[in-house]
Amino acid sequence: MRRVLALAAVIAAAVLLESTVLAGFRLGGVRPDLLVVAVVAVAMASGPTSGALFGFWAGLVADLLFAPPVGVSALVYTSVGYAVGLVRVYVVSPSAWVHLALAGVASLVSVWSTGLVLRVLDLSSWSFVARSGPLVALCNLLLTPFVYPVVRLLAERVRSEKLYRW
Amino acid sequence: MHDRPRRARIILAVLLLASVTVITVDFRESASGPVDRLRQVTVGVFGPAQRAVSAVARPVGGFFVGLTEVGGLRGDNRRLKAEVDRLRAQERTYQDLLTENERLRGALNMARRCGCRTVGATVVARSGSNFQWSVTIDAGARLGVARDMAVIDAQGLVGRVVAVTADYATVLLLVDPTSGVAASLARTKARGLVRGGGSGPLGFEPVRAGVQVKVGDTVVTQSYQGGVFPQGLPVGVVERVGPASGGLVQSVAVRPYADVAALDVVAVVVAKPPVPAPPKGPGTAPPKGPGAVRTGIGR
Repeated sequence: MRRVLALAAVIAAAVLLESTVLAGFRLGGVRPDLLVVAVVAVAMASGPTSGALFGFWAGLVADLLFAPPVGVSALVYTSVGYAVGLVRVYVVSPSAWVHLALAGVASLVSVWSTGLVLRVLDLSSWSFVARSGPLVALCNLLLTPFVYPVVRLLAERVRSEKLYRW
Repeated sequence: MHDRPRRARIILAVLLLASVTVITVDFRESASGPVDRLRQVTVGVFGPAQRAVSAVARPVGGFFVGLTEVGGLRGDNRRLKAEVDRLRAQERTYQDLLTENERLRGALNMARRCGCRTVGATVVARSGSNFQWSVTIDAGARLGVARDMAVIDAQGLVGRVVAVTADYATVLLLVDPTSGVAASLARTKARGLVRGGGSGPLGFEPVRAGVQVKVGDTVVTQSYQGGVFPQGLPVGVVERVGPASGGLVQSVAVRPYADVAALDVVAVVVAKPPVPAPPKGPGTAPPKGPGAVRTGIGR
């Protein structure tokens, strides 16, 4: 229960920050995606199941709050959380650069995947999807040093999932 | 030990299936479906917190905005100095400018212009997504706000209400790619559909092929029976007219009047004037298309 509450608080805090404090922050017309950094941190701390579950709920809350289409972010964050959870057993280096790179790649994949789904639904353009991926990843890299360690530490403290080799 | 990866895969499959189901249900459901009710609950829960955080963190948000604008400040400074010089030269015509300013202010009073009854609201939060353009406002059902009501600001149309709680509402902005607005050109009265272009300009799709569109044409809302928007609200101005891409319809880019990136105070149209009788003749039917299904903007 403590774990659920702690991770729900992370989702609430990230969504609130995104929609208020960071709402005016734009780089080349795009905004940072704090939630995907949080998903990466939780997946790195707790593994694929927790990463996928956290990603699903984070995406669903964001979709419900930020208007339609509901479910797209949930789909993408679930996949990102699971994938990062799988990859974490291979990340043995304690270097911060490795974690930064992981957050950057996850952000890029997340934006491009979201854009791909929305393009299939005819709700976005190829040019915007292609351009926004690297820019969002760059924004997220700027925020990762402040967000990632805090969320990861919290997720590790309330972790229930043991590390398994696949 | 071997059960764990399998369990994880099963959970992943369930979550992915749930996500796809939610997307499907959201696309197909009516205005009062389960996803819409969930949306209302979410807005109701987060609305007060967003308002509080916005009020406390406005200076911090301003700092971030300032950070992104540092590169342009020097250029702005030079431009503003030139502007001050120009204004000093025009000091003698100050009274004329003041009168003009008052006239412009009067012209910008959208609610009075369209004969609508409106409720004022402040934007308390914006969408955090790069693919969704919406804002949360601090006016809800208690003030008479309901789903599908038009939202305007001093410049023109802003969007449409898509979710309402007692004290808050979510507004889908005009620029969201899922939005569609029945509109017409002010000059020729040619009807069409304005579609959101995300971070790009809006697109105007004339109902009839061969419609003459010129750069600088004003696009206004087109009202019809059962429609969302009052007649004649300014939507934007045509900034580019391109050749038809693979079809008969021209590619028309429209720059919205409302600056959706800097929205602060808006008004919700809670009562609009009666719809004028539709003119007879071809091409006068309400535009058809996904964006027009919900009688205005959005799905």
